[in-house]
Amino acid sequence: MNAVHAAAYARAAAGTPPRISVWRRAARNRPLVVGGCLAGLAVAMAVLAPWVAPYDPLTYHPDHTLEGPSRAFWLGTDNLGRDILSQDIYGARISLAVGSAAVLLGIAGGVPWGLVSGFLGGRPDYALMRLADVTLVFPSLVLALVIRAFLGAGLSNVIIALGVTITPGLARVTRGEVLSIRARDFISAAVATGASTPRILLRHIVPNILDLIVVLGTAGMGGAILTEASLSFLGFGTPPPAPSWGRMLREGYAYLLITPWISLSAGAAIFIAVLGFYLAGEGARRALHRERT
Amino acid sequence: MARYILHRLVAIIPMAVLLTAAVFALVHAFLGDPVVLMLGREADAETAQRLRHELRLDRPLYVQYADWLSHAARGDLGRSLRDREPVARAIESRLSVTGELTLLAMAVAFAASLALGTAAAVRAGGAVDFAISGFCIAGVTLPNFLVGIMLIFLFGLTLRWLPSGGYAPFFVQPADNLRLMILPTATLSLAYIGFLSLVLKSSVMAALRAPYVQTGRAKGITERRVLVRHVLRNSLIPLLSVLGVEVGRLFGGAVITETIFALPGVGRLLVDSILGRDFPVIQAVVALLTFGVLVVNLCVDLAYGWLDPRVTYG
Repeated sequence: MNAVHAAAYARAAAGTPPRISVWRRAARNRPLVVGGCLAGLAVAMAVLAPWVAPYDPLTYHPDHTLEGPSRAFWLGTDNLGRDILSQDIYGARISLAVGSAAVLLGIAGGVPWGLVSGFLGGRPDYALMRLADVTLVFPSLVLALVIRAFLGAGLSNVIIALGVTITPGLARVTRGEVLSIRARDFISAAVATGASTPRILLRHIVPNILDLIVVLGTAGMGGAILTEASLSFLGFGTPPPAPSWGRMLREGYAYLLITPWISLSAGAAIFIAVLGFYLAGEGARRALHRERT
Repeated sequence: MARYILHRLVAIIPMAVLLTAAVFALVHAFLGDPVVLMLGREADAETAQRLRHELRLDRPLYVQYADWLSHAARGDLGRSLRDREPVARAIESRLSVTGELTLLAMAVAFAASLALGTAAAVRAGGAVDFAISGFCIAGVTLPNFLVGIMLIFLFGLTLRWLPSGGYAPFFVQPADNLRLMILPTATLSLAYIGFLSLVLKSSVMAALRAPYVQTGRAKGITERRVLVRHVLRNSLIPLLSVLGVEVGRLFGGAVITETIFALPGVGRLLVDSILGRDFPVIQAVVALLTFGVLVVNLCVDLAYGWLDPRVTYG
């Protein structure tokens, strides 16, 4: 028996679980691995787009309209002769940029909302949570659709609409966390030492909910990408000409019999990105759950 | 019980008022002057003023809202700005389409998830479970517009088994209606089949470990009876809560599905009215949706008591 085993036995005897490296533990978390790979693929496409894409996604090739896959155009071309593969790759940029901006916006709105609600308690808490309930009555797509209708067209309005749909759910979870952390001794200690409310919130509560926010943000990315694609599919999303997966699906729909690749490849891209972030969020949630219990 | 229902129904009112007031204010703040939209920017001021007066748009906002609310309570939702058709009639004629679509989708999802969720739970960890869970996760994450387009591509355009869009009223052409509704129902229900099956699987797995299941088996009743009478009945409760939460999202799915399959439903009406900035219609659809979600949630709460006699309403 070597020294490593001896140490393991000693720990087992002492009742502490064996130390496994973070990477080893992450590798065992199947949703995290699969989701991380798929989401990583989407991120890589977005970051590396100018180097990976065979063409500029907006360049017309008038002699090659609505072609099927060929050696020059791997996934064919659309009605204006633009390369579909390149549009798919560049579409990752739009989807991820809009998705992450919306999630950040949702966090910027939802976390303070939940913090204030949970910490103040009483009537303000009641009012703030009923407001969240009322917003949550709406399905996110309909809410985004209605807000986007009010604000008008434009990329920033799409982001705002998506951010608003993420906010109330985050506020509710944050509030729940605040309530459970507030009851712990170190908060009483901080109150006893005369720490101000903002200090308690920012120095003592926020660091303890950061991990949860990361988990919710990851899963929220999947939802935001899906809702953006749905908005674009309905014609209310990212304005042209920027290549967007949802709009490619919408426009390719008319040419389904000629080249189904426009719609199907954009749909596959959406699926990969959404599934990736969904699974990564699920895996992160499991890891967090294990960490805490 | 009756008191509880009454109490809950009364509680819906302030929420519905709050929501419709918020939407009313937002509609007026953001959508711009409907008169300009109707007449165009070149219209002379006098005509615009007359129309504004005729449409009662020249009064303070809260008066307009109170007016709208009192009419809405009597079933009069105003007239569409676009074609002057009464909004209530426009919605009524489309409600049957959306109603049929969502009810069919829910029924299919419920039936399929009962079978899939139970099968996966009974064979948890095996190949059947793996296949079903994989199918369910794909169902949850596949965007429904992609599902719709793939189904149209496969069954409508390539195999030509089913029509890829359009609508026929059930009471006029029942056979055509059902044929036309197959693909939309499949599109809308897939996500719910996946989601409900996963929920049911975990609650069936939990119920299978419960002491009363062991007691049932020890008594010697058949495994089928254990499953149906004891396990499933207790597993239905989480399914029901999910149903209550998801009913709003179902409408979001209906918006997409109706657009893909050219169904003249309420979802399509919402999209068209947003495009045309037809705010009496937007207002009415949102109010109706709110009301619908709140009422369904009430029904779900009442069903708890039916499924679980321990639940009492106080």
